[in-house]
Amino acid sequence: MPQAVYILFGALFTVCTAIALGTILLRKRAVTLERDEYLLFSFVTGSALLSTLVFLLCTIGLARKGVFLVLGLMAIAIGYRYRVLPVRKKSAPTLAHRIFLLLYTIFGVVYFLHAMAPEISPDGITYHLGIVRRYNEWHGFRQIATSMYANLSQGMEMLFLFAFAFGRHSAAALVHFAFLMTLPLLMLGYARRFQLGAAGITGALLVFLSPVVGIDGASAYNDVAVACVLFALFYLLQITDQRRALLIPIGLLAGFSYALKYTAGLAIPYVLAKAGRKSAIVLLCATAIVTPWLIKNIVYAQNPVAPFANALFPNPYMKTDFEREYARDMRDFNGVQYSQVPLEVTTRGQLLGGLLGPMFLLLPLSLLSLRYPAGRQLLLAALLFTFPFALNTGTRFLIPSLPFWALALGLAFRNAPSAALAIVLIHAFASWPNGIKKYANPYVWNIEKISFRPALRLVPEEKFLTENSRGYILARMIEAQVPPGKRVFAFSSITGEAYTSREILVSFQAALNRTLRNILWTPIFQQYQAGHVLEFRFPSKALQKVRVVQTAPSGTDIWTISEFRVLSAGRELQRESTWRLRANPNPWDVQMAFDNSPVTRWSAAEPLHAGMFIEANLARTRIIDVVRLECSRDQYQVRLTLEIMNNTGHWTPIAGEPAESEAKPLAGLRKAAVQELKRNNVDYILVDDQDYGAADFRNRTAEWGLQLIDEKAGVRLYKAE
Amino acid sequence: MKLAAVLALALFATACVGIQDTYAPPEQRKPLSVEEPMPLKAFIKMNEPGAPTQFLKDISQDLQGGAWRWTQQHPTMIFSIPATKGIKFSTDFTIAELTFAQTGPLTVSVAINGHLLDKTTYSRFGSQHLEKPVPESWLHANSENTVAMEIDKLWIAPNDKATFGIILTNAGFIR
Repeated sequence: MPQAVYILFGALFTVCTAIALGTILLRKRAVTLERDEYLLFSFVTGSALLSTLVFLLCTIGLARKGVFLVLGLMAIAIGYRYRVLPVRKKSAPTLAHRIFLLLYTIFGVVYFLHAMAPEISPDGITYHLGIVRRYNEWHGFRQIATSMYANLSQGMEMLFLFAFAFGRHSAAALVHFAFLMTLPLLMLGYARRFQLGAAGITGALLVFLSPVVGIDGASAYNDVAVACVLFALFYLLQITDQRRALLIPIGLLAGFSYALKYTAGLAIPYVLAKAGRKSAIVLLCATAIVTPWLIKNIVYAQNPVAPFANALFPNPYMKTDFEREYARDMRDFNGVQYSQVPLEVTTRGQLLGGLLGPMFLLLPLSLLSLRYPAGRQLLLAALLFTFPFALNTGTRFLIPSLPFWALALGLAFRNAPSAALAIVLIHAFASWPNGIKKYANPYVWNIEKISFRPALRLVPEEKFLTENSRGYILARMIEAQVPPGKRVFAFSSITGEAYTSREILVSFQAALNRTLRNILWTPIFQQYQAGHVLEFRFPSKALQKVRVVQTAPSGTDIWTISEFRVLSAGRELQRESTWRLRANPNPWDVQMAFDNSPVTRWSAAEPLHAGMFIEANLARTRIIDVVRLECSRDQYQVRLTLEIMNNTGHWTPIAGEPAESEAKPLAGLRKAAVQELKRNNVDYILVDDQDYGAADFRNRTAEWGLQLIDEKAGVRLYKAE
Repeated sequence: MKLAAVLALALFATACVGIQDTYAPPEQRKPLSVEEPMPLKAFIKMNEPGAPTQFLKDISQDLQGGAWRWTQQHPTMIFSIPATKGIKFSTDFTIAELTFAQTGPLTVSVAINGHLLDKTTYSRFGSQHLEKPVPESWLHANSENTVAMEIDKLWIAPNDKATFGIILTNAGFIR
């Protein structure tokens, strides 16, 4: 059967199953809605249910195509019995409706063709579907300790998994496309129900035609789904006449918001505040959707909200320094200042990874909608759901709040239909692929070509992907050169992980990956090398426990120790298996200070505070007179003191200030670094020509103990010898 | 709100898993030798063991005939020289008869640290020797000096479309 059929089946079957589950829920709750509303809300609430069901199947290892098929068919069969076909009110379509229909259809076809084409979106082929691919292979969850993305809530990925089992990558993208098509209809439905006139059409088209919404919604992402669910939630909250019947769907959607994206979890307090005295039912329903994700993270990451709040839930997989660095990078996306944001997100688009369209420069006019009660509600929600943008300043992170802003703007032009029409038409032109080229940065993320041939697989998938996706080329290089079960370390996220079964450890995505990166950087960057020796010297003393304590009250440096050596009469004590080593914080890496390797370091993994320590229990009383620390230079704020445990079991300082000296340079650091990677079951290293230190790998391949085994698209794949 | 607080507390309490407190020393790595890394040379023969460490680009890792290596279009190497005065760049290479038949005359240019030193068109195949003084100001003593060669045409193998430039035997700086 043609591949396109499988893709369409996967997507349609997922959407129909969601609609069926939603229909059952809404009918059981005796919710009364308009016919169009029924279908839309069935899909959105049913998605929350389906996502949770897939989660449960993953936990018991039954995430299989056959199980999905049975589940879907059963849901559709039951849902069909509950179908509702109330009489639709007939009214002649206005000019505004005709324009909506025309633009919705034209752009809808463009988005469909893009979603149906082989998936090449940056995040889609790296982590969204990279993780889905693994779940599909494993038929459920397993611990993925080398990617923080595996710990984010994955409500959308559960829907992707359902579709992926039948139609692979494009089927997943089409599921997101279904949310994209649903969102403007929900906005229209809301405007109709609350008699906001053409404001709904203006707002819906502003969102739907927006370039970043189009490409995001037609890719295996989740931002448009978040926007759709948040808007559906807002919509339901406004239907006050049957609030009791809606409490369960509202609670489920609030929980699903969190399941889709942590930051969308803001919907939960928002809903609880709105629900008033009925909030207990809403909370219970939300908890039913949220709790599985928290438990999964407790089991696999020892942190319910991994990869965040690591200071509160210390764990070996994600560390505080990683989290701070990640949060800073997300806040400071490409170094764009807040003053640059309006133009960047509306007309330039490249630095913040997407374009809303220049018409969104009119957004301040949305304040005119404050004169309407609906306007005030919309603007409140808009402000709330814009907040996460401050933490993650990419254009697409504005999408969840966009429907609210756009409707408020539409409402501001409620009494000026000609102006609203002009705005929509200019926006349509400015959002069309050829229109974008006339004003935006040429490298902006948007749909560039409209072609049905890749969508229908008239162009072979392999050919399309090779011509359009560097990530795919690298994934196939890895698939060809790296044996199954072997792991690859990469400095940057450049591989289309959704197209390879090999595990890729991207340097910034987990604590282990970060450690490996630092090990590889040690031979290259002198600051990382253990060139600084600190010796605590004291009269010979019989003792069993010794520790070094960091005393600087605060600082931004990260305390690290490459080697912690204990000496007696000038000779180092041999480290015995009975020794017991401790560190606080980050006890998990303490062995790195006792392994005799100049390229590994124990790191406190968080900024300085007084009381951090690293301790050696020598198991029996030994005569010692020197404790030597070999450290890197990149920690100027650190202040250390040596303490020993006295006979009464108390720690007492000894030895005063340490003597400082320079260590002799060592040969063979590169080879030692690669050997450490091998110890961590990493035999392959992927180096982009743009990566720090790439030239060193290129020029000193033999010194690293590496062998260049392939090179494609400016990226070299090395094998550890 | 009370319910929310209870639920949150119950859940977060489950995250308080026991953390392993102490660890034994791991496998001890062999000590590394206290030596300076292999220094860059001023002149390399292609069959020297350390030669590939001085290749930056477009020189084959495979040694042919025990003495030479194929280049691509932009063979680039780095060298270190103790002093900059009275230095000449020298290289020996061969234009293969087979490749010449397809490419015709070849123009080979040589740039030292970004300065064009020589650009010669070779209108016959066979062994070539280039030796030319390098202005002192172009060079850095005891530091990396980049030699970038450029061949204007590549030979394309008819069977597998593999490309080849010239056959390089040695290159570097001499007095």
